[in-house]
Amino acid sequence: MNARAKAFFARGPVFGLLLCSPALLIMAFVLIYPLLRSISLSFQRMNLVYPALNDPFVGLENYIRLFTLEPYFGQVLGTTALFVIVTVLCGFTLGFTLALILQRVRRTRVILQTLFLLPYVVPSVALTLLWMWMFNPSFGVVNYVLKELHVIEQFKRWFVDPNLALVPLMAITVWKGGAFNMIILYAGLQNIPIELYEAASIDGGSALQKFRYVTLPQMRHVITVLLLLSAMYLMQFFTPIWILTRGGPGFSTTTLSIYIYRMAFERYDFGLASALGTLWFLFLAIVTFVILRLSRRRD
Amino acid sequence: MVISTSREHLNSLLLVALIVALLVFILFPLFWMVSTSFKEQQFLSALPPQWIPDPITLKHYDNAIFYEMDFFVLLTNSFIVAIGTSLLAIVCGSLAAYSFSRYLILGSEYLLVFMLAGQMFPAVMMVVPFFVILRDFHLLDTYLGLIIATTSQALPFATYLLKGFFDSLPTDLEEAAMIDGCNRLQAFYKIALPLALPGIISTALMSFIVAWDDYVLALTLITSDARRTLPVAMVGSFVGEFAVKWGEMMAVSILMSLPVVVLFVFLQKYLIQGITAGAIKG
Repeated sequence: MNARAKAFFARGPVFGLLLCSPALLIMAFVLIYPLLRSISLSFQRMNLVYPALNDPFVGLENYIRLFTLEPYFGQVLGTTALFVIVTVLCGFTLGFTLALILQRVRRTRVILQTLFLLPYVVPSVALTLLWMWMFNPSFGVVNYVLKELHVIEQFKRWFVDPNLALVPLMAITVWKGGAFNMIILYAGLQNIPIELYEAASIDGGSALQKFRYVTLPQMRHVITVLLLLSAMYLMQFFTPIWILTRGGPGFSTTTLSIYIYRMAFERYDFGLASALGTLWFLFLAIVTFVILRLSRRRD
Repeated sequence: MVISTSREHLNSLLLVALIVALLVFILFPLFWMVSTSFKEQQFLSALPPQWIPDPITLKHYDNAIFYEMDFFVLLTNSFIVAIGTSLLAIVCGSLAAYSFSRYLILGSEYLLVFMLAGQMFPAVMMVVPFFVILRDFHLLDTYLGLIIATTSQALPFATYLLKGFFDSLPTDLEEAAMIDGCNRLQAFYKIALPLALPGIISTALMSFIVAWDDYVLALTLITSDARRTLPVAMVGSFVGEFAVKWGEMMAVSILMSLPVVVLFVFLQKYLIQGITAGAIKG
């Protein structure tokens, strides 16, 4: 836009505000207000099962209960950490491999990209039902293939065994999440100046050396932001876990998001759920701030 | 020279092998979904599995659509919510995007970042306050309540995509229109909006895909069967301790995936833009 046009539009700031007010109003209603409501709920005793005991202000009671009276809180944090670390790293590795392949091929790029992206597009519930069938204890194709390959000796009851239940959940997550990683990394790869690779070729660098000394350093910011983002997304991963195990058996697959949901909609303890939600908000706000700072620096 | 050519040859062979292996990993589950949905009931539990359905049957589709669930009611509900969400997202989104692109250039960076950051707060964490707020406003178990909640997931990136489209339009026409006596609003909806139509359509379809995928909001904020959406009902009908209706389950999953997969094939470019926008900028 030229300077004259800029000046022309700059004369209508009120009109500009008016135009974006519906969007800002909606965002206030679905983001800021819920956030404040969640904070205020965390200082209330609000249980839908025992409404007689509700109390509009109980100070830090919910927070204290969370850390002293919730025997599974530590286990949930551990499960969440394990789930997030494994799926972030595997999803990243898969995504990076796919992105490098896309960069390498020419004629088949469009068709490969479409095929690689399919798992990301199929609705979560459809995917979940599909993997539930594939991991079926009696007739599941996963059991059959693994047994034929002698990885397992007998059919496993994946969702019933507390030691195994996380495995299918992680598999779904990596399978679906690889495509997301691929898109971001492929976009990052496109931004690396081709001259750097040419210079490396002239200096006699091998493909591996180019990857190590050109690709990785150039992608550092993209990779950092992507890893942080994936960790945030995966911490809140909900649909497949809720449908397949509801956090069970016991608490073996209860991650933070499932834990909050169980507190709120199994025990109807909205105060306690909000206390945990508020702590999570704070944590996410800090991580978001860090991501913003990182991507700012890149510009 | 000979050595290097044969090494390159080996490299590209390895690459092809890797691609094939990854394609099997990525596509096999989808193939299995299709295969299962067309297979006769007695072959579903066959071991070793029957890889290609023989004979092919449409019984599972028939059962799923006409007997297992109120398929058309559920489909309509899902469409109402997804279309409502994309309408709300593009109406509010295009107004805001136009404003960010033309009028509030200085503030737009911060406002957009704020909106995209909002998208980072996941649906499941918002579900508890959403539930309480919608109850207070008597919007629990209404299409409108669910649409507003789902819009929180679609509006930020819709605004971002649309701003890109408006940025790419020349401003001369709008200026000329205003000099000829159009007011600012007319310049927007008579000139800029029609020009941005392709962008608006693809953003609407993107929002549709996002809304179509929602499970947790519909699960929590809708409490009556009459307004339940397809994903929630699918889980309700087919998931259970003694679930055996695998064919029906896969048939419904395919029916549910078809609209978005078709949209995706045509809109890949925008989907990718939308994802990168949400991730990198936010």
